[in-house]
Amino acid sequence: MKNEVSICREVPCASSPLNRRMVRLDNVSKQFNGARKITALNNITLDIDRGEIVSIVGPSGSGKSTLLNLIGTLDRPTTGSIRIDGQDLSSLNDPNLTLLRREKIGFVFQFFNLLPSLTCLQNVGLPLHLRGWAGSMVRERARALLDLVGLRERAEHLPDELSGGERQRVAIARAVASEPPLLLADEPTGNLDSHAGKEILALLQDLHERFGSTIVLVTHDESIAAFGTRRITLRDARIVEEHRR
Amino acid sequence: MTLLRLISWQYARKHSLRSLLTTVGIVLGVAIFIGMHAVGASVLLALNTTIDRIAGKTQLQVTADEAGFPEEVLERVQAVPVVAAAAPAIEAVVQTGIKEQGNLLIIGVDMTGDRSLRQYDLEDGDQDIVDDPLVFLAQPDSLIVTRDFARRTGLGSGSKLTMQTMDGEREFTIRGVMRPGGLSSAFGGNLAVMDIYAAQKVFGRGRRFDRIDIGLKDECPLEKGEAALRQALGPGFEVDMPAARGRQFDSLLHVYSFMVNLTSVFALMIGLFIIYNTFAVAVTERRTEIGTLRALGATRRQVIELFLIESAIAGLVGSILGIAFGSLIANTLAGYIGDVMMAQYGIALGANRVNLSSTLIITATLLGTATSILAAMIPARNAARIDPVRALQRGRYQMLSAGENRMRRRAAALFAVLPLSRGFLSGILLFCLGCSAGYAYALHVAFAPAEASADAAEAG
Repeated sequence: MKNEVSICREVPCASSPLNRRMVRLDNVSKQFNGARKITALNNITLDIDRGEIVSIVGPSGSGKSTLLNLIGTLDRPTTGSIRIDGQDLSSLNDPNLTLLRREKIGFVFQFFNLLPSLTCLQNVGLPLHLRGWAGSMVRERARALLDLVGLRERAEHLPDELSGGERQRVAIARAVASEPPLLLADEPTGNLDSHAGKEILALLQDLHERFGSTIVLVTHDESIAAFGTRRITLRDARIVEEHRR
Repeated sequence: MTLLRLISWQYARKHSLRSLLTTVGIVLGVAIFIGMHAVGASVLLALNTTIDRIAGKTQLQVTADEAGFPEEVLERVQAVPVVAAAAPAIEAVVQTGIKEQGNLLIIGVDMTGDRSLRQYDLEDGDQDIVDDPLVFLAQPDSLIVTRDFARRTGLGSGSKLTMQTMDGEREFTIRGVMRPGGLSSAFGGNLAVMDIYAAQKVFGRGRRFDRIDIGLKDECPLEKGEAALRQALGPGFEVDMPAARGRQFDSLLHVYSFMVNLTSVFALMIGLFIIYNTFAVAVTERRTEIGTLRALGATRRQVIELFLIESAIAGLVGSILGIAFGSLIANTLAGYIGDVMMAQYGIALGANRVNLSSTLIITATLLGTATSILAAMIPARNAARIDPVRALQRGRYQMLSAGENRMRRRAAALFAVLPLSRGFLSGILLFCLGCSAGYAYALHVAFAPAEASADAAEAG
C-alpha cells in the first residue's frame, strides 16, 4: 500500500477527457444463470486511461477473468455499460463488436492458445490475415515482431517445439501484431516458471514503451501485480481496493 | 483464402484419413449418379439408333397393341391420299443356336413395297434376290443376313441356318448378304430379313402385321399425314414417327432413371451424413482453435465461410473423383449390359458408346458440391456460435452445444430403432436389388411386343 488507495468509485469521473480514457465500465454487473445463479461481477465502475498498465488481482472466483472478458468484448455484461476507446459496446452488434476487438484489442492467454498446426511466423501473422493484410506484408511484420521478442530463429518452428516461455513470447508477438491500443493479458505468467515469468513481464514492459499500449493484466500473483502502474483488487465480485503507483 | 490455407488445409493434412472419408461420401454418391445416368443414356441412344436404322426412310409408323392388326389395315392405309408408300412389317427375335452369336432379329417385309422405304444393298451377285420378289415368295425359307453376321458365323449365300420357330427348329437358306451400313448395322448386325408372309407362318402371326411403315407424298407435312392416318384408322391404332418408338423405351428408361435417381439420392444422403458427422467432430475438436480465432477478431461470418468453403472444396474434389469413378462404373456396366443386350436382342452397346454429357457432368458436380455444403451448414453454424470465453477455458472444449446434443440423441435413437425394423432393412435391400433388376426389366419390356405376339399366337 505504498501509493494512494481508493475504493471502488461508484460514480464515473465525468471530468476526465474521453480521448484519454481507454476503458470505462459504468455500473457493470455480470451474472451467470446456471443450475444456480452466480454473480461474477457486481456493480463495477472503473476507468482505465490510455497508456496505463493495470494489474487486476484477487482470489479465484473473484471475477478477474470475467472482468477481462467483458473489457475484451468476448462477453457482454448483464447490466451496466462498457466503453472501449469511447465506443459504447451495447450499441454494437456481434460483427461490429468483433471488428472493434480486431482493431483495438490484443489478447495474451495463460495457456498461450497458439494454433498448434501453424508455425510461429504464421501464428503471429494470423491477426493481420484476419485484417486482410497482403501475405508479403504479414510475413514481413511477423518476422519483425518475432525478432522483437527474440525468436527470429524460431520463425518456422511449430509451437510444440518451443518452451513455455517461448510460446508466450510468440503469443505476445501475435497480440501486438496489429499494434492494438489495448492489450489484455490473462495470467500471462501463470503457466511459466519464475524466470520465464520475469522475462515475459520485461517483454511486456518493453512493448508497452514501444507501442504505448494500455495493458490490463489479470493475475493472482502479488509479485506480478506489482508490474502495473495501478493495481485493482477484486473480491466477491466487487472492486475492493485500488492502488496507484 | 489465406485463412483456408492456414487453418483448413493444415487441419485436413493432419487428419488426412478423415478428410478422405469426407470426400469418399461424395465420390460414391456422384459416381452412382454419373454411372447409372451415363449407361441409361447410352442404352437409350443405342435403342434409338437401332430404330432409326431399321426405319430407313419411313416417316410414320402405324402400330396397334401387342398382337398387331389384321392385313386389311394395310389397304386402309394405302387408301389414305397423303400416303405415297406403305410397307407392312413383322419383327421377331429368334435363337440361332450358333454359339456366342446371341439372338437374331428377323424382320419380315414385303419386298415389293418395302424397297421404296428401305434399300437393301446386297453384295455382288445377290442383287437379283431383291430385284425378283418371286424368289422370296417361291422360297419362303429365304433369308438375307448382314455381312457382319455372315462373317462372324462363317455363313454365306446358299448356307443353311437353323432357327427356333413356332413349329420348332427349322432350317432357312441364306439367299443374300447385305453390305454394311444403314439397316445392316442395326442390332449390331444380328439382323435378318425375310418375306413377310413367310414370317407370318413361321412365327405364328396368322394374317396379321406388327406395324406398317409409311412414306408420305412430298408435299405432305408430317402433322397432316399423321392426322389423316389417325382419322382413317380410328381408335386402337398408334400413328407416330419412328423415333416415337424410341420414346416408348424412353418412358421405360424414365422408370429406370427414377430408380437410379433414388439410388443416387440414397448414396448422396449417406455422403451427407458422413460429411455432417466429420464436420461436427471437426468443430468439436477445433473448438479451442475457433475460440482463439474469434478472440483474435474473426467474425462469425468468417468462421462460417471457412467451414463452408472447406466443405465446398471437399464436395468439388469428391464430385470430380466421383465423375471419374462414375465413368469407370458406366463403362464397366456398359460392357456388361452390352453383352446382355447383344446376347438377348442383338443390340450393340459398346463401352465406347458411353459418353458423359457436359450437362450430366455439370449436374453431378453441382449436386455433389451442394450436398457437401448442405451437410456442413449446421456444423458451420455451430462453429460460428462457439462462445470464445468457454472455448478458451481448458477442459471445456469437448462440450457440445444443446442443438448438437439433441441431434445426436435423435440420430442415436433412429439408428437404435432401425435394426429392429427388419422390414425396413429388407426394403432397402430389395430397393437396391430392384435398381439392378430395373435395367433388365426395362430391356425385357422394351422388346416384349415381338415375343408377346409369338406367345399370344402360341396360346391361340
